[in-house]
Amino acid sequence: MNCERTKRQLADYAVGGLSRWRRAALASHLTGCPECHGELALLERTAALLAQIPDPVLPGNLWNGVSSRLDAAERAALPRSQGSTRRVLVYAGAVALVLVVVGSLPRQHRLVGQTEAPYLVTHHMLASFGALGDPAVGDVVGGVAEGSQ
Amino acid sequence: MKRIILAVLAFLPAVAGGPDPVSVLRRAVGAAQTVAHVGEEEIRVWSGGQPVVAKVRVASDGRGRTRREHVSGPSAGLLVMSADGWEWRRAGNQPWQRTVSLGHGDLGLDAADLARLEANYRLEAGDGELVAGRATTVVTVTAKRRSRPSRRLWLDRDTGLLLATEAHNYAGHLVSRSTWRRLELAPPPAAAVTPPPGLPEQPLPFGCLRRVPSQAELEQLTGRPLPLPAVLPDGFAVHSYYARACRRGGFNAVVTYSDGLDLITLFERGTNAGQRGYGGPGGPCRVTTNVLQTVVTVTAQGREWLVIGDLGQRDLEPMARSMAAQP
Repeated sequence: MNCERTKRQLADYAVGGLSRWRRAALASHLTGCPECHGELALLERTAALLAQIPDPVLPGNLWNGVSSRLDAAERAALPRSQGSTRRVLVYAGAVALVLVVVGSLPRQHRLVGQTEAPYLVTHHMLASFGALGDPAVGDVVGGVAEGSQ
Repeated sequence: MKRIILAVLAFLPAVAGGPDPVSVLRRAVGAAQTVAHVGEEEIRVWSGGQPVVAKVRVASDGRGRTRREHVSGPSAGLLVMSADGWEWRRAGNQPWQRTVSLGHGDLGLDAADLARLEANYRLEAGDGELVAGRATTVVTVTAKRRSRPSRRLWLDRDTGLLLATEAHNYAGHLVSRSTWRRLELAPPPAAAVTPPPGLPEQPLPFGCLRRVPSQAELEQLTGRPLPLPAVLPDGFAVHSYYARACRRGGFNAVVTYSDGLDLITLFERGTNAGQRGYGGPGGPCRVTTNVLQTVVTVTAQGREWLVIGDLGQRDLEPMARSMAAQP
């Protein structure tokens, strides 16, 4: 793999977005190429800085405001019977949308139950003592797994 | 003629390849205990979103006494010392807990592990970057099968010490990276690696494990037969048996399976938990997963079992169901 091709894929590599084989090929190139390695470090630092920007907090009454304006607009534009039917359809659509979004959330974000924490810590401890493990990493991974409950 | 010789000379390094990865790994086994060193390791763990960063001060006197002190991160305040087959742990202001050490330290790798590793993974070695100012050999471990984790290890070229690691999970996501930021090849002050004195030998505290040599002895300790899975993911075999101390006395079974790199742990839970009846004939197993692990809960012989591993549901659920299918 050459530098030009590597650099095109670096951003995906930095966020874990490549297939395993592409990652392996790219990692192999990075091992021997200080220039590309430096570029990756820069990308990772940039990503870390971007991640420090807090998520915007929406005002709690935002939806109420939007909803009441929608209602007012509907009432003005439609005859009474059509308005209530349309509103039911709008709410049903919103509920369906929420269900679709929740259902399509990646399984990775479903966390395990509280009572499983000690088992996870023990599992990661054993894994870190196993082949090619590093006990210090096992302590940290166990701590993260426990804290993610 | 001159051109041919030059071409052959240029081709030779590619034919000869890098160092033999198995020899590199063999040399590295136990280095953390036999090479005196002090330093600081930086560890990053990704469980979704931004990484968690931890700093750990590590020391070894080169004669089997080691110390890990978590300065920051999710386990901040944890201090672990090991010597003579024992391990002492203290989390913050909690009292010390002494247990039998479950491993041999970094790169625990016996002959069976190595055979499984070579059977299931491709190993490559080459020159690595400088880590903490030291020259390294990098060993890349990639699975021969789909949906298995992979690992890269940077090993000190002179001493075999493990200086950096990078781990990807079964789905190819980067989950952890560790790097020594500072390393000195000198023994720490003796007091730093001297375990706390005067801890009486006590019954195994709740949750602690005791290694057991065989299934028969584990069944004797728990007082029941083990409904071990009849189906295992390809390449996996039983690695170890453990007894886990219960809160009210007695033991529950823990069994680990390995393919040389990846580990699956099977935990037996208390009696009451089994009444929920997961994974019965046609019934659902409970499956939860995140980047770090998949957990499948199943009921077998009236008791609840957790199957935990860095593998997908497609691999772990059939294993769990094969336990539930037993009479």
